[in-house]
Amino acid sequence: MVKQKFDSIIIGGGHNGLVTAIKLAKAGQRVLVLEAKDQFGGAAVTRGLAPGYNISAAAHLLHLLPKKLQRELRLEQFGLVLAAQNLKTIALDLAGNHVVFDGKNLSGGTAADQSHYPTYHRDMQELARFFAPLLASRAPRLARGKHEPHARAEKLRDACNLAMTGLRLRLLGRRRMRQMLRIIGMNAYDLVDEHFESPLVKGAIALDAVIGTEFAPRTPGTVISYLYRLGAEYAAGNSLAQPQGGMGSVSAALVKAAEAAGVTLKLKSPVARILVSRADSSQGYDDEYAPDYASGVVTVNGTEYHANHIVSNVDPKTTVLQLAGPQHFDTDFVRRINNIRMKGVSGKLHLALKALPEFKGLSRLELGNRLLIAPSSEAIERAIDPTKYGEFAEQPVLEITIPTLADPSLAPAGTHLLSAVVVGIPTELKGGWKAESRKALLKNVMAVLESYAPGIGKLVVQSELLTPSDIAEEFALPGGCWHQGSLTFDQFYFMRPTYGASQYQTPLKGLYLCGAGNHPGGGVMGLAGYNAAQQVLRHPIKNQNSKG
Amino acid sequence: MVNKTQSRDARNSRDSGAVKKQQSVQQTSSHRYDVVVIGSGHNGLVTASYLARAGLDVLVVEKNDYIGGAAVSRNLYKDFTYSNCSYVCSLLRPEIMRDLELPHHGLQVIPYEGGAVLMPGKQFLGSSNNHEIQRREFAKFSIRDSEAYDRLSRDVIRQCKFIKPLLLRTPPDPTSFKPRDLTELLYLGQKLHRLGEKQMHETMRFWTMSVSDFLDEYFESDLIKAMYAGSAIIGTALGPKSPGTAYVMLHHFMGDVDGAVGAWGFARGGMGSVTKALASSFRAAGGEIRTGDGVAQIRIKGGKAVGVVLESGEEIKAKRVISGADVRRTFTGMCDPSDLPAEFLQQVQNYKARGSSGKLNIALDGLPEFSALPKGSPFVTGDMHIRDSMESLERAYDDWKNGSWSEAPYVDMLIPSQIDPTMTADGKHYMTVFVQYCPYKLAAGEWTDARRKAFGDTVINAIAKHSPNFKSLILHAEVRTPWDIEREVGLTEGNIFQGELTMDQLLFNRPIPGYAQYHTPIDNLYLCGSTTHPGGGVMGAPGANAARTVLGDIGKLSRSLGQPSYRSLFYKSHGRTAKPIKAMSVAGSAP
Repeated sequence: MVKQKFDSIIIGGGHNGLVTAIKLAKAGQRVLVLEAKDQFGGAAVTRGLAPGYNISAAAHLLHLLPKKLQRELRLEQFGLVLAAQNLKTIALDLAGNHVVFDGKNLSGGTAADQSHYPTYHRDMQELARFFAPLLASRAPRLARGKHEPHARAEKLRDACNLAMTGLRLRLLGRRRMRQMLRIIGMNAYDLVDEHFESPLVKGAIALDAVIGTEFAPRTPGTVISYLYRLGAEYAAGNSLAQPQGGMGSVSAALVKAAEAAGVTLKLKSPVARILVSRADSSQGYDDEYAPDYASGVVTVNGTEYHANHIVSNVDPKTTVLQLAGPQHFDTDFVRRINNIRMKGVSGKLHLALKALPEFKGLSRLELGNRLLIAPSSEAIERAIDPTKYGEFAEQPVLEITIPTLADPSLAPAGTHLLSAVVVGIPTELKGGWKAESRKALLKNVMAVLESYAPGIGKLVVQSELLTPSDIAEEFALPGGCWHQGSLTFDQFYFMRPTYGASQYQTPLKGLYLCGAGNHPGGGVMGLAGYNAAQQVLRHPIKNQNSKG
Repeated sequence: MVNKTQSRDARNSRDSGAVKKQQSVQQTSSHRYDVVVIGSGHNGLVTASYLARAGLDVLVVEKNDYIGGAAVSRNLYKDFTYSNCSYVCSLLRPEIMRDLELPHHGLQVIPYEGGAVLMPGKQFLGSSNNHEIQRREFAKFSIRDSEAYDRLSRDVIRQCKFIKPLLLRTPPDPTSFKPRDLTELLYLGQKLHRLGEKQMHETMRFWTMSVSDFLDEYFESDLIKAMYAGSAIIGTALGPKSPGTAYVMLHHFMGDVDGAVGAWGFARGGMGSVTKALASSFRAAGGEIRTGDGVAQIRIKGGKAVGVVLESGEEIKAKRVISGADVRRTFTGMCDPSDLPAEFLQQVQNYKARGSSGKLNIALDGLPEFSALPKGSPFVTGDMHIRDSMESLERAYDDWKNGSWSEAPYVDMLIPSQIDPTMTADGKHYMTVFVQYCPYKLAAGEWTDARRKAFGDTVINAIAKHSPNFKSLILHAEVRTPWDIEREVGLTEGNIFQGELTMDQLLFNRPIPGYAQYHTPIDNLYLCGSTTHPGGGVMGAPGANAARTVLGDIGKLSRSLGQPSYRSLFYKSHGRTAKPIKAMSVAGSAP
């Protein structure tokens, strides 16, 4: 058996894991990243669809990765090039009277909507500005035991954090503060209804609020997921972008940055379990009360790696219950971890196309933008409702990109790719997924597409429809939930993933979490990894073996 | 400020009885009341009674010919008494009962022991106030769940204990720097902090979770979950899978009858007895009630309320006007929009009140038999439900969203005449049936008699499936949709809580952010209905809180009505709050 010793081991080479690894390595630690698949990047990957066609398989737009983080990690130097930036969002209309969202401007919709939109946009940006810094720092703990190590310093840090948040809330001004305290508890359906008239405008905004979650617009709490998204977009410079070479190039740049920082990266090394040891008298503990601590990992093929910090990019549930094992935690914590809800109702459609499809009323130039098929908030509601009962939507709601317009290298010359998020597919289909049900679902999706882009069906060379359960399997995201845990109030901020582990640190000494299942959550944002690294660095390594 | 001599006069006039009262009625046109209260619902009467007891000259005006708002007993068919809106009693705050001496004025609440969920095929799940009986009932379906019941009872009672003291407090304005608001915020923060890490987070989760997720953490049996979920959706325009419904469930658990936590009971003589006792208490304190003439307009002069104009055209002058109607009805129905700030008016229009419940009142020729329940079973005396799964509840909600009533509605039915013989003649029975969901507006168009009948038939057929002789016993049935409730009681869109109990409309957001302290943008105009904190149900807390605000404004706040003291803020009393909570019983299925 081979044994190797590191300062930190990162389980899983998703974007968050890579960010953590880079940060730790830069601080002088010896870091190992273990990735189960043959490619780094987790849900930010580019992979083959058909010969010559390469697709961003899960995430397909870059809009949440903060500018500051990109600069800090020098992703540009490591090869990240944006093929397109500042994409507009176009809500498609069957008759071709599309609505275009371009920054603070709105075209299409009613005259009242157009004149109101800039005010609405400004209000929301103010709130986003409030949220942005909350995402880039760890969530405070509201209370902690008296006897926890480092309690005093940590308490002070949290108290300052809370006080700052309170102060910033006050600084919003009375009107905005009231507005925010009201709308965070609301549902997206009511919010858009209060502001706009045109169903297309309402649908587009409501979709922003619910995409990636399990909820329909009428569900309370959908505004908080909307504000969270706006906050992250604000930090990322409010630019919908498409990287050259697909989302995989974000991960590729991260890998290069990690290599440059001296991180040891290993592919095809799935971790079987986390090794847990018991402290002994040599570490100054009374044998009877000695705590367990995570001391390493063992891979499926039997290689052992040892480290002081084990940082898991895998979702919290799998990490605690399967990799570490429930026996190392108190029952109450295990129960809470077990109760984390992970559910996705979005799938992914990939089409390899012979030629560029024609959408009614859209020029070739406009086709490169983010296209939404969400005719109204009711339509989204109707698409998501069946998923509650394990059924899929008659008319799913779509978020479409055609990446080949900005980046022809993704497909053979003259051909195109279409990538779409399909909302309205249950995590588990009643009766399970069979070939027929997949076919029926694809038929529903294609029918929707066909009504907006007549003739698209005939252009299809190869199609692929990933259901949430496929996503769960391919990207190791249980339940097909992009965020490694639904973004709801009770799983938000200091309750993410659950209290007692909300600061990237589990009750098992030496075991940390850095995935999207932690604050601030999912999307290709990288902040969970960034915050986790900071938390790991707060705990110095006792047995000096680091190079720094 | 109220003129002291005048209020002393008012007190004197009360002592000398009816003769003086007669005079004051004749003088109304020139008489200027201290306070006029719009609406004789329970909250309006609670406010009015407190104010009258403080020596103010108070008039209550009611548009209907009878008092009570939504807490009424009515004779609509022969000698049957219908509790034709609200139908069970539990939430009425004991502090108010004591302060206003309601038992002395004839209020008697009789608890019922339990109820049952009827299932297809002669099976039933009983619910009981008795913890052990409840455990046995659960064990019929799942041993694990009967054990989880202890855990649920404990946790729910913890949440009740936390929230109960907040009911009779005015919520703080988090944007204000006034000492009162800051201390109140501090009080809340400290109360939360004292719960400790675990309990604090559990409380916050509880407030924000869906009842479906909440129950998933306890039970495995879908039927038991469905039994609890019913109480979380009553009156709200949310389904069991909507976050925030766990809190609504609490709203049905935090009451008590004679100190039995979570228990529910019937007011003897129907729910009208609650308002009757309140009115009697109010009149005994010298108050005056006028019925059959509603308020057409609130008279506002120079940004101040100066009185009301009745539908008959009569004008009543008053120093203060307190509206028991919901915020939308008060400001869009009774005020001139030009008197209101534009932003406020818009917020009022955005206030969410959605009708989601219907009601059937049925006169029966005898006691119906239920095929699942043995004759004479104590479970028949309480609330009986027809339900089979969480999915059917959620699907009923989806039907409501699409603008129709469900073919398989959630039904909460009770036969109070078994316990309270005053409601019907011997051998006859009265049944109240609460139906969730029923839309205010149908997708097919407005409510018509034919559609109302179809809705009623759907419900009756659903019940008849479980009771073979039910249909043959029906003498008379009154079917009420949200539309009817709005028209008769005046609740906007027929929402029984005078506004949704969602996070954006609770605490300092209820009803409008910045106006959660019973004040309005109009000076001397107050709100006291369920539209204010802490919300709906026959609780009386909004009315008492509003009365406290008014008395505080005129400097007549007596100690008993004041907020609980802030001393606890400065003297730590960990010993008191840290007491372990024993597992106590929660009534199995509160309606």
